[in-house]
Amino acid sequence: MLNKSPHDRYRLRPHSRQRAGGTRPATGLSGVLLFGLVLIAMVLLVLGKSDNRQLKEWRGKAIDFTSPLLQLASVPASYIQRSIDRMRDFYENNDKLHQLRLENQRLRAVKWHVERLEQNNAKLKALLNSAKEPRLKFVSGRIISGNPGLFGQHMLVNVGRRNGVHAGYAVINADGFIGRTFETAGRTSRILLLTDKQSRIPIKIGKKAVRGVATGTGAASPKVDFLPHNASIYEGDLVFTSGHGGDLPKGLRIGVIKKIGKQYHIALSAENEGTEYVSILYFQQPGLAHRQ
Amino acid sequence: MLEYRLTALLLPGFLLLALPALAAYPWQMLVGQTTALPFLTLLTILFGAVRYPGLFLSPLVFLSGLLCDLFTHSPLGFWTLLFLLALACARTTTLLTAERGPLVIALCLTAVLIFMTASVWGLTSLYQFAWQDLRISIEGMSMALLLAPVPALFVLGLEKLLILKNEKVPSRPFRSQR
Repeated sequence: MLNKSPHDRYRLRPHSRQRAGGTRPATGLSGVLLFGLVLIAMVLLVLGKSDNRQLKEWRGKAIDFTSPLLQLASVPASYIQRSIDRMRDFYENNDKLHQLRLENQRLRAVKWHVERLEQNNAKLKALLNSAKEPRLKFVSGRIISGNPGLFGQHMLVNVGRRNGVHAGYAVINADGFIGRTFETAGRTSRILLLTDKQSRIPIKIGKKAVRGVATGTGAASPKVDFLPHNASIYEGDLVFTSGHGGDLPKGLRIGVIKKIGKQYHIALSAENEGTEYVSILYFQQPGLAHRQ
Repeated sequence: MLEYRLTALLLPGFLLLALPALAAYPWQMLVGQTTALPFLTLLTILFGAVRYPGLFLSPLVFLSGLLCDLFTHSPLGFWTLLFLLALACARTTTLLTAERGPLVIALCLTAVLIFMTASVWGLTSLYQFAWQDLRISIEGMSMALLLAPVPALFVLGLEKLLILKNEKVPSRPFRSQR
């Protein structure tokens, strides 16, 4: 007989056959409890699959309730990220400075050209009496959670319905379009990234503004679908949102075309990795308003 | 004895609630994309319940699963079901290997790991009514196995510090009482 340690207290109670040296799976109350909980989990799964609205509401509230915790937890990550960036900047400073000077010179030349074009554009619009494009307002928020899971690529941002954000709004970071909101709660919104398998974004490609649809594949580069027959697009062509369907504003930068095999893909200009802050664009268009 | 009891209650509670929160952490900021964190919770339940079967209670595992579903935006009940399955596997392994040597236990746990990886993949496919990429589950589990020493060291450290001050950790869950 072994001496009993306090540790043994927390082991499963040996069954009568166990005492005789045999083994037998745990039965009784703990087994029933486990079985009951498995059943509850299964019911939850089925309810979730049936798109139960009440469950979604409850989930949104639960996320709202836990969002301060997530927000607090994400602070060290952003601090470390910023420290890494600062160290990297320190080592790359000289090269960067030279590049920035060159870029500055180039941008000054471009700025003058753009101002002239804007003036011309305004004059022509006045002549045509064309409808004004809606001005985009936005709200910025911090990514508080988000990892690609087995069920898609999402991010959670700390702005929600209280800030006027609804499902379907475009989300951008400093480099361009990254996705759209698809679930909103009071204080949080979930973003469906461009790379998610469920993502479909109407796009226009290159100078000829060829229309297509950017389809998420789960990988880093979404593919281009629904191209017109004999569409002339080339690697390196710029890709923007087309605004068709009225859900998203047009002209948001997405990336450039690259060809993998026979399929056209998009090398995204905005990387999700390292993204700390995003902006959600308020965009009320007939298409979106109708659906809501 | 009191500190032992407190730790015995707090240790799995802390682990099972903190790990899902870690799964929600925006890791892509620091280390790029990873799906390993929910798998790490699953491994903690599996190995933890083999080592301390009486500590990893099913309601706690259920709560941990719900939190994981909530934080990782998986369908509610998905990780909950898998965590409970892992607990059931751990309990069965504990009972089946009661009289066996470490090699048998290791083999059993390997089989359970393979079964759990297949379960994750199978349930994902079933939920989405389409075959999913098995590689994602394998990668997640492999990454979690690499990360597993971190919670293991944490548990062992606390165990030495508080639980068993002067006691040796029994290497086997059940010993023959004869």
